[in-house]
Amino acid sequence: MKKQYRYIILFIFIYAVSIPICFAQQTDTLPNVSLHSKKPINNITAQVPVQVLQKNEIEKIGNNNVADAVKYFSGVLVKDYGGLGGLKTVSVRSLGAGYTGVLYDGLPICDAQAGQVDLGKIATQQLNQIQLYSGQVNNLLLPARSYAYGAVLALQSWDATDAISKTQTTISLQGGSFGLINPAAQVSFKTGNKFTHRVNGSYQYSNGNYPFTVYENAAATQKRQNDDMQTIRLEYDMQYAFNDSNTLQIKAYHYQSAQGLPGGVIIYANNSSQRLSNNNNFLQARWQKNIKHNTRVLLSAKYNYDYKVYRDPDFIYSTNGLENKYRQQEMYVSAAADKKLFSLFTLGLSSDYFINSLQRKDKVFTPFASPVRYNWISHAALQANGKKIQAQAGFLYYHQQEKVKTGNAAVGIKRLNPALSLAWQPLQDKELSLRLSYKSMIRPPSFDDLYYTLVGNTSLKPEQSQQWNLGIAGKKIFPGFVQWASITIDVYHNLVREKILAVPRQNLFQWTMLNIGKVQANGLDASLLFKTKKIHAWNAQLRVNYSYQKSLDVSDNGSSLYKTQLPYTPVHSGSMMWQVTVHQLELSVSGLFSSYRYRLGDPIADNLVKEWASFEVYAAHPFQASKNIYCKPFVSLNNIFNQQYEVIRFYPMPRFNYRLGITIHL
Amino acid sequence: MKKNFLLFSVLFALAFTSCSKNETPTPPQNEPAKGLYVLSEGSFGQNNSKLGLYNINNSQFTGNYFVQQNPSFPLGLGDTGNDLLLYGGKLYIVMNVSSYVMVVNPVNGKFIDSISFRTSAGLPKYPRNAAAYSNYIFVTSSDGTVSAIDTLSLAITHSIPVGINAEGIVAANNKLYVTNSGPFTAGYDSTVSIIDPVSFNETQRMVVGKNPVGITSDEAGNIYISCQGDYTTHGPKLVKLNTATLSITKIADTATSVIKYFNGYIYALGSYYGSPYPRKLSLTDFSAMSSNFITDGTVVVSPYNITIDPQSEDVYISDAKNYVSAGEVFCFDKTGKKKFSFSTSPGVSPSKIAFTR
Repeated sequence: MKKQYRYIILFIFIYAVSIPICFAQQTDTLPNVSLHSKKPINNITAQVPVQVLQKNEIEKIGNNNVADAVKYFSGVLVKDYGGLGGLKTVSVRSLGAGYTGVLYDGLPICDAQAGQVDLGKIATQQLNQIQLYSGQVNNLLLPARSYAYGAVLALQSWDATDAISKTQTTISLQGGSFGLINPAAQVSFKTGNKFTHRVNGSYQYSNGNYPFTVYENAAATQKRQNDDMQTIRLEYDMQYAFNDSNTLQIKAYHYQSAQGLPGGVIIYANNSSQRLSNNNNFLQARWQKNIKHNTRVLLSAKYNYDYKVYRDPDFIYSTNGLENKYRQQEMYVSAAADKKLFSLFTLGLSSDYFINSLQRKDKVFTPFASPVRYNWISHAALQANGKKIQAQAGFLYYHQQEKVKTGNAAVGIKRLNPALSLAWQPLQDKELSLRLSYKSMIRPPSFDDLYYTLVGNTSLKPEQSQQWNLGIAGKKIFPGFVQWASITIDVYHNLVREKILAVPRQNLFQWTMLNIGKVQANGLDASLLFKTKKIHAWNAQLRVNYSYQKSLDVSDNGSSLYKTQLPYTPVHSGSMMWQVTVHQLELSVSGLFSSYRYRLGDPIADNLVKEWASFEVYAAHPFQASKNIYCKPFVSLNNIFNQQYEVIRFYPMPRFNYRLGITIHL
Repeated sequence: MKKNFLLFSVLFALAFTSCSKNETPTPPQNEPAKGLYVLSEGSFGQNNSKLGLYNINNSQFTGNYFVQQNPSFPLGLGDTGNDLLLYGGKLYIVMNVSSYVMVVNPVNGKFIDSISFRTSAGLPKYPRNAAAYSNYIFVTSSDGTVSAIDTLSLAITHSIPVGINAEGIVAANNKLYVTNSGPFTAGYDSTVSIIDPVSFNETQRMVVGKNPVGITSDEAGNIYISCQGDYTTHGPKLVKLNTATLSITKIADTATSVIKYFNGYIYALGSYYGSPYPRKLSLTDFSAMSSNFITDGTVVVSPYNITIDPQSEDVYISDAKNYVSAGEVFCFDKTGKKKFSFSTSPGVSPSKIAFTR
């Protein structure tokens, strides 16, 4: 405990020292850049690749969850186990899902137990924007942990600068295939001049029993079993605007789900009855203060509570079935400041302290470690904003210490990791930019990696990764039919060492985790965007993304898998999205494709998972129903060519399905 | 296909029930082996168990022999083949996760029958291991039962309740001995069930040590049991039980998993604890004859099973390598020198081996 005091004291010290330093020099005004800016990010001059989906794009794709939406980003691999309840994890540029940080309204959401966030569980209906940074986030006014990831997915549900004059109400109702029903509502209102509130909630249910082609007999179909899911989500946001443009934002989040875990299809004995229920709540507060136009301070705090109950009533190995209950908590405080220096530089400092704990609440017959993890992450960076050159250099200090009730605690971590980025616009008056970045980072082992009964290994070291990116981006305005077009091409080289892998010991029922993997990924991400002029009420936009990814297992040069492509990693993948507006009518055709992959390391026919493509169509026709009522009915058709495909072998994906609904703004 | 498969099973079961042909006795083991059937477990949930056939004469391995010989089963055996038993002119393949026993003709690898393993509630029983006695194949299942399959009718005639997670099984001294591992019950199980193969009853349950798994028998009526322990306070044990007196005659802190008795020695693999090398243990004090059975420096990355050809005394060691790519089978002579080896591609995690003569 003594040690922990030391960290807290250090932490307070950093605050005490860093903030006055920032306040001391006050010269120029800061540009109004924010991770959650309403203005679209300029991804042409960005120092690291940034991809953005706006609300009007998000609503046209996928099935109302973040995982479906981010499939449209390049360089992203979504492991989709199918259906509403199926796990959906996101890895960017072969770094593994544990490297993708998710910020929800400015603060990280995390699952220290699994080490990765299931993005299928985060709804998109309330989101205004999704951004993906493939590398270091350039904005310097963020919690330090935002810089501790290989890629950052920033979800923005509410914009602090949203000005509302009167109460706004939005009601929506959706329904569709496989028993989908999804009502949602949102009310925004002001109390007095300074308080703005938003209450937002949704309910979603799907029985998930979609048909799929039987593996043993392609002429027959079966229905997916135990794939139902029911969720309730409630969010409350409040913003208080001080007289001097300082803002305080408070967010409360509640999520409750009950679902089946369908598992992979086992041929000749398909049977599934495992259930999972999840209760997740968090409360977060952010206070941002601008000091004399050149210094900004952001103080944040968060408490997260998560309770998961896993049940297998048909667990044949025990007479009473199986039940696991896990409680996870996180307490989080963060201080960040950035300050403009000599009109050219911006200095950013931030420091986070947070505590993660995991407890097992069921009747355990083997003693459980009940780990508590103390994390201290600090970040310092200097950004130079020249006319033609922008550059940033920064360091992240990662300190982690753990305590357990029984057994050995994980080895502590103390690491310093640098990050560098550079953008250069060589031509005057031309929107053309070259960028180069490097980032070194670690991924600490998750609680499951360390303490899972018999499998976990407390002597695990953190994974280490290095990312290099070299890119070119340009935008051109045309006189003709095409109003403007933009292109970005990035090549990257990622190296992951000490990769944590599960390895069975003497038989397939005894596994352990070891730092034995090494992955080398070389790839290219390209995106093209065309926007046409408005001609006769027609307006169109086309976005095409392509990813090339060679991700090789270089763990052991004596192994037959040396330099083979990682399982489930397609060499070629991509997406397209074509949006047209004709008068009021909004139309969109979008599609995803993936080349073949192998389910296991050996590149042999037996392991082949076939290439696939899936297209969806969306149409909406908004209209003014009366003076104060604005309606937007829509229809969304998914997998329109009724393809039976798999992202993960033996987890069949739904074939053709649809959604229709209406959104009413009052 | 699934329905057809079950229908076939029923039809075949009926056909064989009405048959009164006598069981051909197991031929004496004096012919040299012509071929090796290799069962590769595959990876859990991947439905990729493979039955391969290695031809000793021409050194050819057909990795997916079952599918080659049975085109009506394009996806093969299913998930996690756990045991392989050649008895009475039939090859029995115990499919754990797909929960059935496949019966094939060892002469040509053709499908004979499949026997579904379900509880009365229709849930998979997850069969594990098989042993033959008289006209029956006795199969342990994770639901805590031993099922007796009539080798003529290929129907399950008896289901005998034993301890939870019945695991290993061996015939000795006119009885069957079953290890009850019980890893999911509080404190693990620690017993061996004794089954009378005539009355099809469990006659006794004896405490031998925490989490018993591997089991083997010698000619003198002793059985040897590999207990894994509970991974916390109780360490692993190797136990010797005299079946005539039903008394434990020896216990040692020897960490083993797979154990095979042959010709005065126990051939053992290490477990969660213990040696990474295959070893030959003395019957008197369980001490290793040497730290590694392999004497010529051949590296077996992940020894996964040991099978001894009683005729040639050759020792076959299955190597699961990294458990996600093709494994390898090594043949050693009795002094631990490599004779040959072959890749089990596309078979992942090769384990059990049966000989055709």
